[in-house]
Amino acid sequence: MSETKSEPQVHGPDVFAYEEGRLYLVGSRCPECGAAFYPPQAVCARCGHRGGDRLLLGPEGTIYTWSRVHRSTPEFKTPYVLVYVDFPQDVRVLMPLADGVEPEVGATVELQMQDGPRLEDGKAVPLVHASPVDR
Amino acid sequence: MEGVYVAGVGMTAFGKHPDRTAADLAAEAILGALDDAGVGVMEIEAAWVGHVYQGMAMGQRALGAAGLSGLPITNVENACSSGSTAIFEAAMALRAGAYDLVLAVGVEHLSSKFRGALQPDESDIEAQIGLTMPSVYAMRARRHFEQYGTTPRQLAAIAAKNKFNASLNPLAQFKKPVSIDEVLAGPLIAEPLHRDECAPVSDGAAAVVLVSEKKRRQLGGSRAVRLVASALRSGRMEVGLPDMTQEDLTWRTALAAYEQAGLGPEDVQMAEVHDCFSIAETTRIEGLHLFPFGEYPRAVERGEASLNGRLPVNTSGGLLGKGHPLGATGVAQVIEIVKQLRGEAGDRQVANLKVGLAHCRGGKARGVEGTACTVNILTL
Repeated sequence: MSETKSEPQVHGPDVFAYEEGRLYLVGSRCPECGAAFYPPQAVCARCGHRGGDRLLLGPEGTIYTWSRVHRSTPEFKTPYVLVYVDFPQDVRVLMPLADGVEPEVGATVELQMQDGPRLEDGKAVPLVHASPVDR
Repeated sequence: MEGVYVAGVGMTAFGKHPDRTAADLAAEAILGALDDAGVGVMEIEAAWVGHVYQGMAMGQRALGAAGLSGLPITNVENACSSGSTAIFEAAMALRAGAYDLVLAVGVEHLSSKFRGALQPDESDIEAQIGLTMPSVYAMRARRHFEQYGTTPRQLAAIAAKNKFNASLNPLAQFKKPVSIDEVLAGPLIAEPLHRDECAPVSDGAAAVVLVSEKKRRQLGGSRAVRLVASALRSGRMEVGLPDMTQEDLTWRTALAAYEQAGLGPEDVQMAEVHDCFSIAETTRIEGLHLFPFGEYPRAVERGEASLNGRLPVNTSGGLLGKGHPLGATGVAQVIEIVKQLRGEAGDRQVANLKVGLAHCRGGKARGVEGTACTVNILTL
């Protein structure tokens, strides 16, 4: 609604990392109380400790819930599927589901870089997506 | 809470008002509330005005249009709880003994500011991925389905109930009842939520005159309704993997209000709750502990939350039926309870009411379940 254009910080270069060929999100863990966060928290939201240790989220997680979005704001190409992914590191993160797969609560997913539903100057912005893992 | 009363109420019709301004709508509500209380415009000592998207000094523009200036005016932005936060702040000031007669107002001209789905603030990282308010609640609905076996039909029954109640409310945006089948046949906004399960874009204003015990006696206020509790809380930053079907924010706010009132969930006879979506009415009612977790949608299907049910919910039509001019919503909820307690709710009147609860919450920011929540409890 405002004219201000914000840089997409989401799942951008500061918040993902490849380790041994697999994609992770970069969060933080409070060295004091152990609470985990994504994106990294400069101040722990549980105990108030300042600073957090780098914490990799992934390489797999499970879909906690999902929705296929049919109506959105003009910057987004609809429909698209959003999922909340629960990581074993005790953090839940919102992300789009990879193209062409059906969402399912409880499905195991890994992270994959893809063009997302958000358009900037008509071009899709690459984002970390959830992609189901075949078992 | 000692001695705070609602002495007068006023509101505009909710809906689309393309030819009117927010200030003009607010003035209508304010003058209506003053007339209802039987007080003059110059008797107001202070005012709090809630809105979300109406720009700088909305309160001064609103009060100015009603002929009021020079008094302490506070503008309140607290997402969808802005109007009810105005009531909370006004009640706190009365309670502190600072004033005897004040105004709490809520106003929004949303149709001139917004189209389509509302989002969290655009700087919010989840908004940048595409999170809309409907999708926030859609994902909660999906969890309710998973955990309790709730069905789309049961959620649609909530929308149908509220649109029926709205058809009995002359100030509501929606005039026609909608059947459960019609709700389910409507377009999907964010699966599994259909259009009729999402609050519309609305314009409107609502105002209440709040008075101290002393002023109530001076006014001879036999129609005054007592505000026995007013609580405000904000969402806690979530740590770990919380259960999305259980509203910690709603419960913490309710607990504070129940304690102030010396009442519990079992004493509540009617509730206006923040049904921005069908699933939202469910998680509010369950979060207030008015029904056990997982059971509310089934109970609605059985008619337990209807006008003649054991706990009528959103008799005004709620946000889904009456409309949702964000800043005005929380004030309008309190007005519905006042009208019901005074026996002035017309065709939607519920018999023999003594205690009503208004719950308002809204907003979304990453990491918190909700931003602001209020619970106001009123008694005869």
